[in-house]
Amino acid sequence: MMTHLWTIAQLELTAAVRLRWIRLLTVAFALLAAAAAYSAGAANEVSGAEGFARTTMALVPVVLVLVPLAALILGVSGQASEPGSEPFLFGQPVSRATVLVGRWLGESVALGSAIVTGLGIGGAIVAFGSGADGVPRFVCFVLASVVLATIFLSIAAAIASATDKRVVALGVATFAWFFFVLLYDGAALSLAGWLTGSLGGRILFGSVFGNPADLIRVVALSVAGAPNVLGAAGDAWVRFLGGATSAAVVSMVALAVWMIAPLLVGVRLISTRDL
Amino acid sequence: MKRRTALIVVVLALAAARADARTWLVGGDGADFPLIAPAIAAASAGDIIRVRGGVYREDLVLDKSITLAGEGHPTLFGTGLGSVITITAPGCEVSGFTIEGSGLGETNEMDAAVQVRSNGNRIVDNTMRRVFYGVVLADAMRNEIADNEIQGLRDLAFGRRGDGIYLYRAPENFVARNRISGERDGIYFQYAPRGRAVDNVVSDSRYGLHDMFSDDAVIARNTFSDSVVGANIMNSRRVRLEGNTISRNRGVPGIGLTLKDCDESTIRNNQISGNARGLLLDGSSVNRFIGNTFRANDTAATLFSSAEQNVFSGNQFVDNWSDLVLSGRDSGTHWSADGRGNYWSRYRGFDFDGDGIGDAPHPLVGAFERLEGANPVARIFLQSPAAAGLELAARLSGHPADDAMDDHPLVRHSQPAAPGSSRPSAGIAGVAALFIIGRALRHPKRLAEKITASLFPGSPRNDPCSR
Repeated sequence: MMTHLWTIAQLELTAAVRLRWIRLLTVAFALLAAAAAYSAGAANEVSGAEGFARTTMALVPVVLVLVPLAALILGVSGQASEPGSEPFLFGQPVSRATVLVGRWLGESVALGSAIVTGLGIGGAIVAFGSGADGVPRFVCFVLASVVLATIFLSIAAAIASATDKRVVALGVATFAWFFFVLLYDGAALSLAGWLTGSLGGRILFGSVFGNPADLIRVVALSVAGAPNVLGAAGDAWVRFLGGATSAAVVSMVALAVWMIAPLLVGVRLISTRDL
Repeated sequence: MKRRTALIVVVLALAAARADARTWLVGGDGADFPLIAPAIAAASAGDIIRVRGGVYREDLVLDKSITLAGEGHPTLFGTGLGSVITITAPGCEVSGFTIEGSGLGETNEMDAAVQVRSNGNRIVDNTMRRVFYGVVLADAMRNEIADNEIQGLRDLAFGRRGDGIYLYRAPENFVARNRISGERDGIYFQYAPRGRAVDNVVSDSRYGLHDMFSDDAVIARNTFSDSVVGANIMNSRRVRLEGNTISRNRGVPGIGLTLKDCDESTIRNNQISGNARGLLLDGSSVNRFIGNTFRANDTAATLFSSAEQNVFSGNQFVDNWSDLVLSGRDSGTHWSADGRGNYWSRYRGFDFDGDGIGDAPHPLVGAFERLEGANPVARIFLQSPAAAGLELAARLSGHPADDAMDDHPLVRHSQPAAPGSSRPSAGIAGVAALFIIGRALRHPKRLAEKITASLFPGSPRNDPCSR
């Protein structure tokens, strides 16, 4: 069972690494991270910790746009593969759950490596330019980006399992990207003007949990951004979650749920689907 | 001018006493006294007491105009009750000492390393370690406090520390080149008009500079960094802040410069960078902000609607996450003077006629900052891609007419942004790394095998695709 999982993960990883756009994505991440490092002044004029914080701040929106998009496309095209290959693979003596989770694992490793490599180059530039002070926090940011990728790969697995056709799945994935990255926050921001007072604040804070991209953004900014960059709102957020430790635990658990729940939904759907 | 008058008075006083002035030696071989207090008792006005290196455990009261000169950094260790040195006579000088062991304010006194209660004294070149207050000037005028190093009780909460240099009902004093850290307020002018603080460095305190009910203060070329608030000016008028560096004052309440109920002040050529909020204007009106640089602050300036008729001209707003947050309506701030606005690194307009002024006005408050002004909780959506979308939409749809605008935005930095200290090693490292990645990616299959082999050591070695 576990051997099968590894084999399928390896299969998926090989397929993913062979994709030219994944390689281009790595280079794109590296270039963007380098650009962010230079535009943040991190390459010369500020201290290491400040340089990393500013680079992180500049990279957050980029990562939030690119990583979910890449994850959804890679996930959907991997899970809902070419017509014809599907019956062959599912005809083998492996459970459908193993295939789904194995593919997710392989894709996670592929995209995760692309992110770590790309952002790592940006980090290296900052470290060379202004000192290694602040590396641990930048590593946290890179890890958060990888977690973001695994979450959206998991969502992609659910989408692919819920649809029969690859084209439909890609369409739904595109909408999911648009929804989580732009629509959701746009709606929340549009309502923010009215959602004042303590109830309004709680609704806005609660809304962060409804979108993994938001959750990753808040976690990344709090951990790796400029100290207290979220200001009084960040302070209120920590109090809303019952203190610093509790906030960390709640955020971790919520991220884990976002990673695992769509996968379970996907397993359930594909197990009962008529192929 | 007044200071010079004071100096002349002191010199004349010393000259008058000159006739029978003598020098006393304290500590070491052939000294007149082993301790300082008996020397003070024996001395008369105009005398000099030279104190040699060593540790002296005593509190001193300077009740006659004498000079106390430490040679070889003698340590004066107080009894831990009250102030270590109290000066009640005018025209004294204390220099060259390391002073420790002040009281901790248990008796609600202003326990200090040096407490000054008279005029025309000089406290120069001393080190004060782990003291409650460093120097207190109470009902004291025209004193000079210069070149001292003052370290407070940094392990205690701010509320249990004293201030570095506290001037209470003490006008026209001169505070220069002191280095202060770990105190509550670095330099605190309270009911101390016409004071001057120049070239001081304050860090790791609550407020670097605190100014209350002290009109006409001159605050120049100081560095106020790494505190909760860099400079906090309250209830004062005609204050001049020039050429100060105010940086990295962070934390949730962190602010570089606060003006609260301050009017007609001039804030010129200061560097305000890396603060949570660069400037907070609350209930302060008719102040002029000229030629300051606001760089890399989370929010460069926050203006409450109670701040009226302030003028900003020739300032530079560079690389701040937000330039301006208006809490409530903007009440007549002038964002340009005589056709000269400010430089904004966010400005997206052009200067086709080449006169250095952008052709289109610059809207100052972004869509996100506007939301944040209406609901501070909205900041939790900082750096969301949707916030950038909102900004774009707002730009396309045009801004409301009553918005805060810089009608004459400058398109050039008025001075070079930073010395060209760019390090080539970073660029070389980047290029080299990209090259290596490029090479590795040319052989995806081998790369995949390597990754899987290192991640899943138990898995079959061969490529599953080739089976």
